[in-house]
Amino acid sequence: MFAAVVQKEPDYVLSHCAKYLARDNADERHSFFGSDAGQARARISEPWRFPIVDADDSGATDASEWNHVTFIYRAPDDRPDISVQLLTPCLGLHAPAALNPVDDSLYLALTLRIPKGRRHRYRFIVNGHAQLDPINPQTMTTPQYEIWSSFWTWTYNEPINLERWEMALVRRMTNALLPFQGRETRNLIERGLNDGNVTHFFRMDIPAGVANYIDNILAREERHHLHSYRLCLPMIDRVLRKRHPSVEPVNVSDPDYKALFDDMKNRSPKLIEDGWDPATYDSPGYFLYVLRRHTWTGAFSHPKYGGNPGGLGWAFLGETFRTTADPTKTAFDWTRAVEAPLGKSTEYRG
Amino acid sequence: MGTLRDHFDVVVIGSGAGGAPIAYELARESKSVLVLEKGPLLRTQEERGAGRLSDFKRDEMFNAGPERIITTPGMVNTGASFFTSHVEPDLNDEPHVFTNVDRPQDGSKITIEGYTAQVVGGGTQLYGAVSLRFAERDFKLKSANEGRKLQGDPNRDALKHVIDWPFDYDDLEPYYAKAEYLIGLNGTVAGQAKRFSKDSYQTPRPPNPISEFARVGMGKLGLRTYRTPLAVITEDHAPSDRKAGDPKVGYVNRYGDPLGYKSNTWVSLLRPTIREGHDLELRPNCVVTHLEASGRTISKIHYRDASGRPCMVTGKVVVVACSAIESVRLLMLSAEEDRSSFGSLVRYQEDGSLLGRFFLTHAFGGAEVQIKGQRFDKSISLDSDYATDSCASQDFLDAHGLWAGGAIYNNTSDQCLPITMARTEGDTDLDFFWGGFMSAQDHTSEAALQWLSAAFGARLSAAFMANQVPRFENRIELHPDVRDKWNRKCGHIIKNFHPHDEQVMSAFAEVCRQIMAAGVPEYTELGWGSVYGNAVRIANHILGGARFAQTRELGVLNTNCRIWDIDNLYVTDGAFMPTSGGANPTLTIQANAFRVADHLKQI
Ligand SMILES: Cc1cc2nc3c(=O)[nH]c(=O)nc-3n(C[C@H](O)[C@H](O)[C@H](O)COP(=O)(O)OP(=O)(O)OC[C@H]3O[C@@H](n4cnc5c(N)ncnc54)[C@H](O)[C@@H]3O)c2cc1C
Repeated sequence: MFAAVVQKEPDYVLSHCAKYLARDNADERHSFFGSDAGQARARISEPWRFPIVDADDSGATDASEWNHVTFIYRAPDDRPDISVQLLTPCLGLHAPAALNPVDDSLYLALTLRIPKGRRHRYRFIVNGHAQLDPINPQTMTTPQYEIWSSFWTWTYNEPINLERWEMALVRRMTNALLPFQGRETRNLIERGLNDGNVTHFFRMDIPAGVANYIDNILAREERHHLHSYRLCLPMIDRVLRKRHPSVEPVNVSDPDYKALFDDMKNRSPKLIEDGWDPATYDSPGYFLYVLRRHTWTGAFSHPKYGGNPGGLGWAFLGETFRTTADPTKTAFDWTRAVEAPLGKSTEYRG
Repeated sequence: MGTLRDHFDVVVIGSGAGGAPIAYELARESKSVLVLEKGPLLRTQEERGAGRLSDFKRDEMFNAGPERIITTPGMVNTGASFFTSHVEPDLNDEPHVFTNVDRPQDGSKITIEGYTAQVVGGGTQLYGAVSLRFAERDFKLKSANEGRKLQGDPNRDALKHVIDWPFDYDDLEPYYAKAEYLIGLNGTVAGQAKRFSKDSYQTPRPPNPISEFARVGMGKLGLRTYRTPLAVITEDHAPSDRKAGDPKVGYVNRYGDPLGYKSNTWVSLLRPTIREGHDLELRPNCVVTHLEASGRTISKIHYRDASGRPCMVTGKVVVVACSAIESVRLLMLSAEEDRSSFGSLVRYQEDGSLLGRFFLTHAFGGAEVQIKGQRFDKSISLDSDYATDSCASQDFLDAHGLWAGGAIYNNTSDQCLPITMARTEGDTDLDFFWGGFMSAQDHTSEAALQWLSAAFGARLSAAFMANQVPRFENRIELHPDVRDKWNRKCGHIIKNFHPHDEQVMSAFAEVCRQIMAAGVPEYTELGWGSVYGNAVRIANHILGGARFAQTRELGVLNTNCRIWDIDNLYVTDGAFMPTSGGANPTLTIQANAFRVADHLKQI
């Protein structure tokens, strides 16, 4: 089996649920601009937090390879004794497992230990009837066209929403946005200020990680921006193809991407001439900002979000910037604070 | 689970700076105490057990990661982004609305205060932990200004609503000493202008070398410096049974501490009291919706449990400590539930009622410099290293024609982590969100590297925290239309600064600029400014709205923070302050709560 049931303290579940799920309002203040309209989750905040995907905190030696995933169902006020089971291939489809009441609350919960980097489907069986998770907005469709709820664990790196060509274009653009590619960086490497191996990896892996991070965040926390990516990526593709007819957009040079970014920033007539349609998306500069923010956040956030593999974004800063008083010392000793095996903190466990 | 107890000697609502000291003291007096806290209980590693993990993380995405969008209709900033931590209120579920009292035509907006947290420990979980005492003069600002003429006070009304605190520094001093000892602070007394009866500070860790520029700058201007008192333990702390470790990791301001070195009120006060077996019960994830009165006493406290179901408890004494805006709101919502009883006891919407009036924050700002040719590892830091009281002196105030002074300290941990660095780019507000980054669209590839190269580990700032002039018009109300997730009316903050605040802020920002200019040998950028006229953040600290005073005509609370006409209802968060003090407020909120607890022990 891919998963095992683990016990979590009631406190843990209540503390992860109350803010988001306990409420009276009937209005759809969290409908993600109408994409969840008419559904129960449009009334609750941050439904993307469910199921709760968290670190494996069992203290086991291989814990850093696993996540704890806690499935939640909130019973209706008048039916606290409802029966809910989790049906998921990672437990075996023949073996649904019961979500258990958490203390005397209306929440039912079940926690599974699941390897990182996986995506799975599931359904709830509520009083004998299979249904999708009413909270979590993520779904996936099987080859038999069945719709299931879905979730993924940390560092999952297959596309979720973006198509492969979109991922490739995002990856190329983030590569052109990040500071890891420029002449300055090459000079630094040549001057021997960096560990050559590590810098090699920066260029190899971070943009792919960041594209993956962006795909993830567009599926979950920032679903409201997915539409913008869907609208803008084809136009960027169009502009690049018009400008460089014999080159695939992912092979366009850095200076040409820089020219594109400048045109987006300035909303230049040339951009529109070359295929950006303002009626589809009026503010290319705003999209550039969102992409830059996502890129920066992906490259420098904790590797569990997928965009900073092995802490390479942090290592780049640490390698590149040295203290003036002692150039053998890094000006960003991130490993001190961060948990092992990623970092070297002897106190903090992650 | 067994049946929940429903009667206590003392019920404290809110587990932060104003609530926890009361719970600590009264549980140790053998009273039965219940703390009702809206937010979750997020535990430290040690509490979770061997090998296990804390619910707080050293993770920049926990601080202000994903973007959310304001959806409340009809606001000036409907559709705008916000970035809050996992334990701050969701602005669509529990918004505060802001209207500029002097420019209502500008419309209303949802505020992004950022200076509160909904979690056991309240704001002290996320705070920078700068724990200064107020200056002795701060307690007597009415008397101290008799006959003085102020600069930048065109209508001669800056002092109109200023009252003295009902006691002076000497009365609060023993409680400062108590709070410092029990909560666990590091810092130095030498160099402070205030009188200390006792030095309970733990020894500060060596400063980050970048702070030396600030110390030198202050010194060159003739300002006396001391190591900024921080609520972070550097040595084992016996009163809370905590072991010291390495707290200097850069994940400071806006982060809960997974190891509990930061002395938030959970690890320093509530947890040890529970562990030692006193009768203190904590109910997290429980939001109080209203209080019910019969006669002159609060007879019932209504709350929702973690599932959202209505519950009720009673307490002989009830202490409200929800952070000022929410405390005032709770009183007002209770009044709307029962206007004739509770409403009249708190004089809700009566002529001349002061409930909600004199809402205060701080005059706040600073200067930031980009040091040329020198780089430091700023991630080995706590929030601040050096502070000075010299700008609270009478000479300074006379020279600038100011009514009240403030403290200045350097920020050490600001901009030490890469996402925060980008997020706060180009602004003097340390918690600014992406605005500067948004306009720095040229920062791509090599230009981004050049920006990093100039700024990374090379930025230093000094901040000031000074008294804000109290205005009668600055107030908290219930908003008629905007509702929270419980369909209760939201808080409405109607406020603006007084012109004299500008005088104060520009004088202090200029000193901060001079500190940087004098202390840093060469720099490439130097910016300074304040929150005056800048409405991004409505409140840096949330104070006032139910001030205490010697008479019921002047204040909502009596000297012991009791509502004048209710025999058992106390308000002990920052709402009680009649003036905001010339320093960050939390230590004073805690000291005052210890003082009120002493009073409660007598009854
Ligand atoms: C990022 C940040 C940095 C800061 N830095 C500093 C600093 O360096 N120095 C300093 O002095 N101050 C600082 N502050 C401010 C400091 O945290 C506050 O001044 C202090 O916590 C206020 O104390 P309080 O008792 O008024 O409210 P809080 O400590 O905020 O406590 C209020 C509590 O009441 C709970 N509550 C609210 N409504 C209800 C309800 N209806 N039912 C039940 N519970 C409820 C809340 O969840 C919260 O836990 C900072 C704050 C933040 C967020």
